[in-house]
Amino acid sequence: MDKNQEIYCRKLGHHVPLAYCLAPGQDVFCSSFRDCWFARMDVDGFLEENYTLQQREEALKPSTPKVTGIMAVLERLGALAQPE
Amino acid sequence: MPVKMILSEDEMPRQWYNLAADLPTPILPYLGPDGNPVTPDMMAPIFPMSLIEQEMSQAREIAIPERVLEILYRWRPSPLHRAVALEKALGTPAKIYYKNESVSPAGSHKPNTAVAQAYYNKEAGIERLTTETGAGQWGSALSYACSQMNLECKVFMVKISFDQKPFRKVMMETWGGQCIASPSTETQAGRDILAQFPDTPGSLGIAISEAVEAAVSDPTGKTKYALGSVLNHVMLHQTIIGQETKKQLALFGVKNPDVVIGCAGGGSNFAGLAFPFVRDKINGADIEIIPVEPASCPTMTGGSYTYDIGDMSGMTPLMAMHTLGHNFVPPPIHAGGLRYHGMSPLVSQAVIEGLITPQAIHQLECYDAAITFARTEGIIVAPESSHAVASAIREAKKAKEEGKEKTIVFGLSGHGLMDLKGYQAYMAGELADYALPREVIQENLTKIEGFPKIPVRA
Repeated sequence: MDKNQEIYCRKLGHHVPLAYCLAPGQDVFCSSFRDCWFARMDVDGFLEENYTLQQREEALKPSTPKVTGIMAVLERLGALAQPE
Repeated sequence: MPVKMILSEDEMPRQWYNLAADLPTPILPYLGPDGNPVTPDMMAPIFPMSLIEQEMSQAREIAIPERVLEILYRWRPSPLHRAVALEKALGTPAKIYYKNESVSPAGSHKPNTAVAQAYYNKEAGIERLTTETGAGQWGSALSYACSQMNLECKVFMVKISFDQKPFRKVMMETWGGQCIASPSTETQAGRDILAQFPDTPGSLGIAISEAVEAAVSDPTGKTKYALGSVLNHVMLHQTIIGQETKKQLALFGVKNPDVVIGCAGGGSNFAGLAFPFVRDKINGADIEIIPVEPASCPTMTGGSYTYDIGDMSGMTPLMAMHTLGHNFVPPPIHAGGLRYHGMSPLVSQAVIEGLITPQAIHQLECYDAAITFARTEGIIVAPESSHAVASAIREAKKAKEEGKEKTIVFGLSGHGLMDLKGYQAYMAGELADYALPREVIQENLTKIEGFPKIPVRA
């Protein structure tokens, strides 16, 4: 499989190689991997072959909406005010 | 026959329009990590109260401050063009208009909100803004806006994007911004990631963590965070686009367009153009309003609109958005349902209410459309904008088949002069859409039939 083949990443706004989709940041693979590569490869087969069930569950769980994610960052930093 | 309409500065709208005031059903609230609604004070560490108030506001119109207008006058009102060359090339009876946001200093619609956010932060005594960026469009816009308001600007740019787009960094620095590849050693979040994955190409999630940490960890309290999409106040600021467009269409002799089209990433460009027309539609106007998004799937199945009521890790409920559902191995997606998790809640709600009809177009058709547009109208559009061009061309061809003189308006959200790599790949024949046989794709699509959906609330 050519990991240099590229696709437009709607999260970043530019083309990225497949290799990035499989190692974005600290995630095992991008949560949008199946969405993006669905029509160009057997995504399910590839994921089942290369990742454990736990890894797939973790990566494919529904993404956190942006505001919720930001609130989670504030909470980790101890900067999240408690609601009155 | 005029081919563009320019409004004078005096004719520019003086208020932003808030769709939240007119939606038949209120949008569901943001939820925090504990699953409870986010309150204004919870946002206070990162946004000034003036923007938080706008975020929660139900007021129909909010006055645009004079200082914001003074900056926007540099390029606004932006022109509304009649695409006569494109119409001729297509042989269509349709009249095609496009609202050209590429004329801003940053080359896109993003400064419309960047300037407003920089202003409100300045008024609140803030001295510095932080943000994250991928390809750099938002980081550039914020750097520009901060330079106009005498604010410092620190942009955490995802490393892979930082490496791919070095001239974006130069743009930001030319405007006095600081552009840092993320993850960086500037924050604990960045240091932690680098300790584990020293060669990581980064991600938006990491960049967001860094930008938020950089804001809240400033002991002076003079640093806040800014976002370029998704949030209600961002959509609000962008409605200047659609309000100007309505005035310009009237000068062209158009009362109501038949179709309004905008590309939809995080929703701000689409919302900016479309929301004033959505208001008209709520009040009875017959307008088809289409947000267009990228797709790798040839059909138009929608996602489900739901709260994720708990994922495999047992995390708390999240915000109501278009999502595919939460089975632990979700079937292959998706397409035209605006199911990208990063979509604006206002846009998502407008989909649910049936006010807008999402559409997804694959990249080959988009680049083909962009090339046609460049060779007729002259503008090389941004990759995101090419989706709106492609949709407009589809509508124009439909009009030709039907023999109808439809009026089509689309948003040209930005130029593509900093994003030519995609054009290069397209013209070299390196881009592909589908490698799987259609029957395999169809088989996979049937797996998502019967997915649970939240019924539209009464």
